[in-house]
Amino acid sequence: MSNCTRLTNSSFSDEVLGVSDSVLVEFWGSWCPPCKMMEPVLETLAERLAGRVKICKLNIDQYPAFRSTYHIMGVPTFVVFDGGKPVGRAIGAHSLQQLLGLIDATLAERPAVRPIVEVPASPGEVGRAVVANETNS
Amino acid sequence: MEHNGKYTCWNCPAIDLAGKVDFRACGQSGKQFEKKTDASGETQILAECKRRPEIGLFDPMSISFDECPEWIKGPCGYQLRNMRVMILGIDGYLGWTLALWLGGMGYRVSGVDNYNRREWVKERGAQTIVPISRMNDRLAAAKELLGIDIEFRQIDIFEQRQRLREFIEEVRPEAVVHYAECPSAPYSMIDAEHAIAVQKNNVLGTLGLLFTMKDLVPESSLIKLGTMGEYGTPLTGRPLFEGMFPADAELHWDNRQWSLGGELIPRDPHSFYHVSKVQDTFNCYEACKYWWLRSFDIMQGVIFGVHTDQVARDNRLRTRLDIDECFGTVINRFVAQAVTGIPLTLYGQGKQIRGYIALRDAMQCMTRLINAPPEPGQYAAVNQISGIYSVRHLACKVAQIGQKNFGLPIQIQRVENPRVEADEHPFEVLYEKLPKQFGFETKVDLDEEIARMFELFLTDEVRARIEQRKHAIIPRTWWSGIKRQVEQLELLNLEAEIRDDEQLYTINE
Repeated sequence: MSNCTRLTNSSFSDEVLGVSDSVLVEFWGSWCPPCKMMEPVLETLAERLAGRVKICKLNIDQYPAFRSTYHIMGVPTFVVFDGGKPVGRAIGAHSLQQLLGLIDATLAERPAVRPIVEVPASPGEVGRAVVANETNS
Repeated sequence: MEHNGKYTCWNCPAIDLAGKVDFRACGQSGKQFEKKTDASGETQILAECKRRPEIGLFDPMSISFDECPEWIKGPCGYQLRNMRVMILGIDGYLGWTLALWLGGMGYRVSGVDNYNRREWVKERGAQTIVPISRMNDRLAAAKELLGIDIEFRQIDIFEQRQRLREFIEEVRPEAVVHYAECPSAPYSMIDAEHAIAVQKNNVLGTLGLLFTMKDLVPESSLIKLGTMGEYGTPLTGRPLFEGMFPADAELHWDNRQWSLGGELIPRDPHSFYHVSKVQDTFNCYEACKYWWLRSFDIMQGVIFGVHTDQVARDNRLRTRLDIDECFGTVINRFVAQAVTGIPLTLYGQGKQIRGYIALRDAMQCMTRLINAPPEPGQYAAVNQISGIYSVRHLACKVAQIGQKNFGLPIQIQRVENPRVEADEHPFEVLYEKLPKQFGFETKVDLDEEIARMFELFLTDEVRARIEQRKHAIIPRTWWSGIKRQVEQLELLNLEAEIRDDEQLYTINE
């Protein structure tokens, strides 16, 4: 049984847009060799991130309306959604480490859904926002 | 759980795709499936089943093979009931064997051949050592003894493209197995005429086939015979992946890194024949990308053996078996040398390592792949082997079995290597897809198959036919263009050789 969720037209809103969690969606095509080679990597990713980030796939040929909505110009395109909003993306085949890096970097930079802690400015430095790193520890 | 139970109509060749949507994502192609439109708009690809049109339009992902009554459980996973399979090159060693194998399992088999293989072998002064009947007699025997009807046409896939087109239109195959290529490295190295003939037949014949499939049966899968020889033997020892790099293979350069996932792995062919196979790979890969064809590229290792239940049933059903320098594969050739008293020939050091697969196991693999069609547009490659051996080890193995089981006096010799290749090299190959994704299990034991070959080769008729043409075994085609028989470098001390070999293989195991 696959750990990745295979999305359809109708399930996209429930699985991706209507959730407060973080979701990685791979937009892919049957004819795309790099997409096929990503399958085991996404399975591993889904296992590693279980409970933290949901891993989903959407076949762009079967459901082509999404390519204009999310500006998919080539496949595979990975889009990180947080709270239903696209917050990061990467195009082309990626190794496990690279995808982990993308997710960490993207979610670490998004303050919107996490409590923001104001850190007192130290001498010579302006105040800065730090994301309370709940999910990426 | 069958390997293809959760495949869906998205993979099935009995489906017409429908819905007014772009042929491919991202706007690279404007072709549309215009004949039907999804009631809900132009939002997704739908399917219509050619076998069960009463279902109407539906989501192709919604029915799996294990739920569909047209896919029935067979010995190699679910199989499409009465699936129409066309075999190109049906008169050959593999083609004829597969025709009977599939026919026995309930597939509807058709095939074409131009008898080139018979002509090429005759031209080299050789003959199939296992006598085979004329096609008409073969077809009659298949019908009479096995109850298998095979629809056959004599067609040259390159020279008679229109006739092939008409036959494909008539049969509408749901899978096409492409064995109709010249399979010989030495034959392609004889001279310019032979090199050109091999590349023309293989490369251009296949290219024409791809166009024909695009026009007539784009939903069928093309199962095309490639070869492990496309990869060569990289001296770095880099693993030979299955056609493409996995996503966790990375290129590091200039303090940057990229995933190589999905890129074709480098090819290093070592004859003009192998170059033709590499060109085929690119042509199939591109055709899948451009037109949504579906293809398995079979990187088959060196094949050996004589046995399937069907071909062994009667002499009229036997498949051909060649032992000459051009068309004989190494294990088959060693056994033929052993029964006629010619020392088994190692080229150069004789430490070439290759992947091997037995005839019967190869048939199982092909059936499992036919039953698991790729997705629309998917080009996939598998390394079709079941074991890895050095040539020296195989010579020792044949010598031991010949001596112990059949009391034959056997010698092994090293001869000059007429090829340009490394005769001692590292070798690491991945061959996990067939067992892990397609449920392939090795059934043939190497020793048992070699013994079975000895039994057949020692029958009066076959032994006499080997004797008649044994001059054709020793190579005389040099990659450099020289035309002379190779000379012996050394006659090996068999006992010492076998002892060393056993130690080596014990350590490695």
